[in-house]
Amino acid sequence: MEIPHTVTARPDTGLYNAKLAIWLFLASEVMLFGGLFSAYVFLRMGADDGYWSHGLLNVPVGTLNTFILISSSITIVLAWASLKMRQWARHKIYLGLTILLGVLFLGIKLGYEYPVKFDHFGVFIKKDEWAKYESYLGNSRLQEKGLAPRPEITGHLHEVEVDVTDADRPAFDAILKSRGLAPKDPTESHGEKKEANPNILTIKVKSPADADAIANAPGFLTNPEETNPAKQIRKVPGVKMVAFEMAVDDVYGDPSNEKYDSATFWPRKLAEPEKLVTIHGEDADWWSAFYPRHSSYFAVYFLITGLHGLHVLGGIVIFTYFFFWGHKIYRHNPEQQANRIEVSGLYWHFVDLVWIFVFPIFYLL
Amino acid sequence: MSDHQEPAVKEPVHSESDVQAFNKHFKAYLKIGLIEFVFTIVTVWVSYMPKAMETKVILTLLSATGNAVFVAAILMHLKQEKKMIWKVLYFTGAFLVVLFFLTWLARTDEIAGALHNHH
Repeated sequence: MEIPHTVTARPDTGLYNAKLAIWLFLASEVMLFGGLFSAYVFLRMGADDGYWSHGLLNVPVGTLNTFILISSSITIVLAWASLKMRQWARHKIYLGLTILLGVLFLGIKLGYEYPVKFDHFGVFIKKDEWAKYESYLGNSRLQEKGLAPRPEITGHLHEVEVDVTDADRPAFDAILKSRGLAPKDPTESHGEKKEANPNILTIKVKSPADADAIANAPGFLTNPEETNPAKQIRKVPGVKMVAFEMAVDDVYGDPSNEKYDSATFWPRKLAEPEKLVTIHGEDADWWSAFYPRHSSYFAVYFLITGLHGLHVLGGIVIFTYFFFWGHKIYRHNPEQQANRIEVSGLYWHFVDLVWIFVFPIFYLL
Repeated sequence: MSDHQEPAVKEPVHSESDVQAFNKHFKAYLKIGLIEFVFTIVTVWVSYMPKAMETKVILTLLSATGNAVFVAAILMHLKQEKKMIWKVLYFTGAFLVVLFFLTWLARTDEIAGALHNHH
């Protein structure tokens, strides 16, 4: 039995079945991404002045990825045109190029853009404490110019100071050991603190993830001899973040520089020479690496770009299948294979189309 | 079960006219690609203009929309697509407008004390 209307149009719709189906699917995709874009608009319009992140994404890299996706849209339409002309070898070249471009897009996203974010760290300072960090934030000048304030200091996290109770110390040390961390010798640089509070430890971290692990360490068992999980008592450790020491980005090293007044992208790199800041835990409103939990901006950024990335991956899988196994249908019915490439190409163009809007709203505006 | 009969399989052809037709398509699609590159550069350029944020948002999104129109009209062949597909898209567009209208309504009727606006 053959599936009807895989090549010829149905008389009632004037379309072959897959064509109508893909457009109905794309219509549902428009609503899916439309909902997420409207969430973006809602969050952005509701953000307080200065709290919607700007300029954190790399515009040249985003532009490169846009060029890559546009190029792949062209190569897939050429792959389809080749099939229509019954040029199988040419079709495979363009299909292969489309796959490569899709992989390159994802490679840049997952291999460069995301990891850079996960390595960057930011601390939102409580409004009442902005004055303490004025030499980094430069908010007085921004206020005079009528510009949005800077509520956050970003850079690379070097050390954290934590307050750990004696009872929790053995288990806390186990967490440090599992991550390859160790408390610094307090007599080396903080000799006086040893006398003031022996529970305060300074820990050199390798990445913001270490700070997360320290602050959000899973609770310790107070009755480790108990084997029944239902009877185990888990206690959240008494770890308090006392301070963060970080090397700040260049904007905080020179906050009066007018080039940073613009909300658009400027290359975000550490201040040179290195400028360190110690932010007290009690002055911090919120701290995080550039994870989704950092801010509404990154939450919606990772959600939309992540979902878009999954769509790119889906396209790559489909094209890879056609690349290796498409000839079976092509030999039997070349027009049907051309139609399969056409509908998957329509999906791919839609993925390109979504990116055309994702790029400006997250990278440029 | 359908009694529909698919047409007989066409044999692959590589005539001179086919090659010429392909080259014509190739050049046309390449031009579209170049136009889209230009649109992308314009979108980036507009966003760097020393204008008020509201102006930049409008201009940048207009440029992005221009780019999207080319993708939809030419690469997705919407320009010469059947009425049935246009009908589907009209409905989708209408629902999308309603969706964004709901967002606007939510902005004009905020829930007092909601913390969504902090970070």
